[in-house]
Amino acid sequence: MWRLKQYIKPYLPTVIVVSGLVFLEVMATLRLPDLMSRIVDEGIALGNISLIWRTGAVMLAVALAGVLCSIVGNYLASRAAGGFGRDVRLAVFSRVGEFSPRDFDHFGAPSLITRTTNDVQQIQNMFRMSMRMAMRAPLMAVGGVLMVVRKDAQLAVILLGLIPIMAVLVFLVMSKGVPLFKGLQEKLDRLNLVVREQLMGVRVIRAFNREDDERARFAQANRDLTQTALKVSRIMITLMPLLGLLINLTNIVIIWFAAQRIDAGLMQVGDLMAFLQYTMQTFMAVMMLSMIFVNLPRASASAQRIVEVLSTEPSIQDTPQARTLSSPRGEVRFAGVTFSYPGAEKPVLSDISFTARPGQVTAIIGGTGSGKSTILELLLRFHDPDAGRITLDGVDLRDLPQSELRAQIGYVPQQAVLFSGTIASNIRNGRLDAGEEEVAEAARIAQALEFIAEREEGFQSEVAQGGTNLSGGQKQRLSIARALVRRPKIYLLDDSFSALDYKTDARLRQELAKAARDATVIVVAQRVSTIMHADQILVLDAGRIVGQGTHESLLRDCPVYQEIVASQFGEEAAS
Amino acid sequence: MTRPVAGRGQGRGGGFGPRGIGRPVEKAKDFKGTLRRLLGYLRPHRWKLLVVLAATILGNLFSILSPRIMGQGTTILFEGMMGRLQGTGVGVDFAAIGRILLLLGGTYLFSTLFGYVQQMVMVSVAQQTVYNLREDVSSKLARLPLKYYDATAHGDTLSRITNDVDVISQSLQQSVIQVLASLVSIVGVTAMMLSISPVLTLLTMGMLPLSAGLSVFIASRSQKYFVRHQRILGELNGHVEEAFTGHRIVKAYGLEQEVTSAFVQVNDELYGQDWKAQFVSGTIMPLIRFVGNLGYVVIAVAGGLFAAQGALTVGHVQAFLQYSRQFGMPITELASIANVLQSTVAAAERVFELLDEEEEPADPPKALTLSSPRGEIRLSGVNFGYEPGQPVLKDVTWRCSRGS
Repeated sequence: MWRLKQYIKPYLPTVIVVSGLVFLEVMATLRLPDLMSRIVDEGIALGNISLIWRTGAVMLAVALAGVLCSIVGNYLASRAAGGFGRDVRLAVFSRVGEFSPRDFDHFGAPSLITRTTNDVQQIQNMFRMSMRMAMRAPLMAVGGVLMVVRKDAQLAVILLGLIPIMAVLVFLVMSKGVPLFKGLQEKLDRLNLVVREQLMGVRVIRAFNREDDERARFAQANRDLTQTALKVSRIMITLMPLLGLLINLTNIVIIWFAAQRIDAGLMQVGDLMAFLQYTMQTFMAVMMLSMIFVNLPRASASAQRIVEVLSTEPSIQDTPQARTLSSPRGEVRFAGVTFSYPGAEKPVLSDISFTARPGQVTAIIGGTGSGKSTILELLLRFHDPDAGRITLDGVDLRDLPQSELRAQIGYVPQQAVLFSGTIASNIRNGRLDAGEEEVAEAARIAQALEFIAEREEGFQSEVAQGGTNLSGGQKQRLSIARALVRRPKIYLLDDSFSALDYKTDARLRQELAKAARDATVIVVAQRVSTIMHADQILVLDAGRIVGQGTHESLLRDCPVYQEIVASQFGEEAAS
Repeated sequence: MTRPVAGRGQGRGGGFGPRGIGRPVEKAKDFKGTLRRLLGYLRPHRWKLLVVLAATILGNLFSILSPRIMGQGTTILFEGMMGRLQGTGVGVDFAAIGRILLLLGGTYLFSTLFGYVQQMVMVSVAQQTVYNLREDVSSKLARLPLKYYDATAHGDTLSRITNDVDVISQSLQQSVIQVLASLVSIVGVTAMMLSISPVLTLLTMGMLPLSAGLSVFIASRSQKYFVRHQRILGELNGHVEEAFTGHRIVKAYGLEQEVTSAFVQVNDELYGQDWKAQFVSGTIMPLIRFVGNLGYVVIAVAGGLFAAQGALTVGHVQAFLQYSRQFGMPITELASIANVLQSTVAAAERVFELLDEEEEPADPPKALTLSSPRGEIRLSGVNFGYEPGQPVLKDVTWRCSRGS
């Protein structure tokens, strides 16, 4: 938690004020039994009616002051905790935004989502709780002890002796209970997993007649869960009443000793009554304190996960002496580029060299996992090569500002990713200041006009989160339109036509070739038929270029290319 | 002036403040029918439940007795003190004090013991019940047609089996006991208070509408904020999910700023709802405590006046102060249990919905067995569609024999 101190700092004044209010509230709470003892010892015992009335009025004022402090404190604490959560959430979100895909993949999207949402919520709650409870509990405990000592120092010894025992006991209960609860969570997760697998694999399970085995697996998980739940509950059920009994028996001991002191005239009955109440309040405070200590690890795990994100420096950053291109042409050159993903044994790309020129189409073909898409990602500077250089118009990518580099590129990924909004807003993500006609033109080239026109609201039709209300082909076409509206110098198309039918595919290619006439086009493909007419084809195998040339030249002297062609067209085409 | 800790629903360990109050509650469509069906699952355990009932009543009776007994002790001490003050020479009656303390220890012990029995039995009933419920769901899943799996989100089914059943288990384990205990407490405490002083009882009762009205008022406010908070939180989560899953596109198109400024907007909105929801719900406890303190002051003053006139003993006042605290608690608890019960029945309804899904037709009784399967497959005039009216296969006739 303290590693997040820079985010707590702005709220430090609030924290101090809240502490003050909590202190006043505790004082008020502690004052009440004291006043009550006056009613008994001076009012009732001496028959002083007016004193009873006056003391009652004071009690009322004290109670009112207490609740006011409490509400104002709560108000301030809620605002501060909310603000703290907002700040940390934004910090985490922005930091993730700066991450390069390498840093991003190190955590993974689901984990980063949890860290930005749930984990921040956790520490925000902890912050609010600690402002109020963690302040209140020790103050109550100390204040209670002080009041008891003031009432009767000798009798207070009993209480002082019992508090450590109590604290240890509560802590034992809690520290024993929490791991048990964790175990319970694990069993629950296990049951979850079993059911999830059964739901996902229902077709396979039925086809292979595994219903009985799966039922047995579920029964086992169910039994485990039930047994653990019983165990946890039984321990809690045994320990909690024991604590209660301990407190109650303490009362009996106190009354017994107090009786002798009252008899000796050393103590008054009202004092005893107040004493008993202070004892109770002190115990409660100790109990609450232990609970906070026990809850601390969970919040601190969340804090840890957040700090991990915040302390990860983006691995790709602009160099301070980054240059800008005056009039970019879009010539891309790879020179001896080798790259491996972190933790991988073998490089995914080795010694890649080629040049892609404006006005030409460069196609990359190869089997799955041959490193085709990685070439595009390197060009986008999602990663930096381990060896060799990549240049744009002769300038090393590492010497360009990332924004400048990417402004030249229209990227169409393998999986079309859209954002919630409208069809127009998704296309306009390619260039934010694109006019309506430009958006429509991009949609026309991408063969998207037809299905857009079918929708009632046309370009203003809503796109759901993740584009789930569009078909795969529609998403792909919008994703292409987004690249087109950017009017980039370089097009990167990563197997982007896979979800289109043959006719649409052909028309789109025709239109695209016209629109991208002067640009550098790099296409990644699986099907030979789609790249046969490329100006240059790179054949990739296990991360190496094993052939480079036109369709005809490769067909003549590249065995890997011949194999690919043979597998797609049959033997006769390859020979 | 302490309240006995033993006996009443202490099993739930952590948690601050009354559960459920101020949070939005889901409502079941058919509350009565679902509740009856849920109770059906408890039927086999009715003898155990009877034990729970008996233990709850006994345990609570003992814990209700204890303030009265402690009050007697205080009175004797007070008389001893007065004796000394007035110089009669009669001090504290130690024999009587000893007897009373022993009695008090006994009641504490018994109320703890019965509380223990009641919870132990209830836990086994609750766990056994949800075990059976889960087994039912599991065997149901095996009998459901594939159509169900295709039409329902896995997450939804999963949540019925785990979360919903878990809600039921928690609730059975704790709320059943709490309802019983609260009812017993209300009756018992009222009786005790009446026996001490009808006037003071009337005063205490007078505070009730105040505290109830206050809780209801704030709870309804806070629910509103929580609903809004929940909605915006969902929006924020969606935004984060989208921005993160589309991370590469955001980078490739340099959309970092747009994405961040949209996030800032939702984040600020969330902050606005978040602190309000927290503030309003956080106000419930101090206010309830305040009403409690108000009652405490009223009883202290009124009781003090009565005692000064000799109409009541000091022990009576002390006992009454404790009772007035005990009186408010079960009522707040019942209010929060009402919420818990609502969401429990809603959860149960979702589980029962799953159990009532249409099943795959069982194998016909006269099903044949293949003596020596050869593997020849023949389709003749097959029509099939996943959705009615949208055929996928139309009059397909096709034969696939061995070796081809």
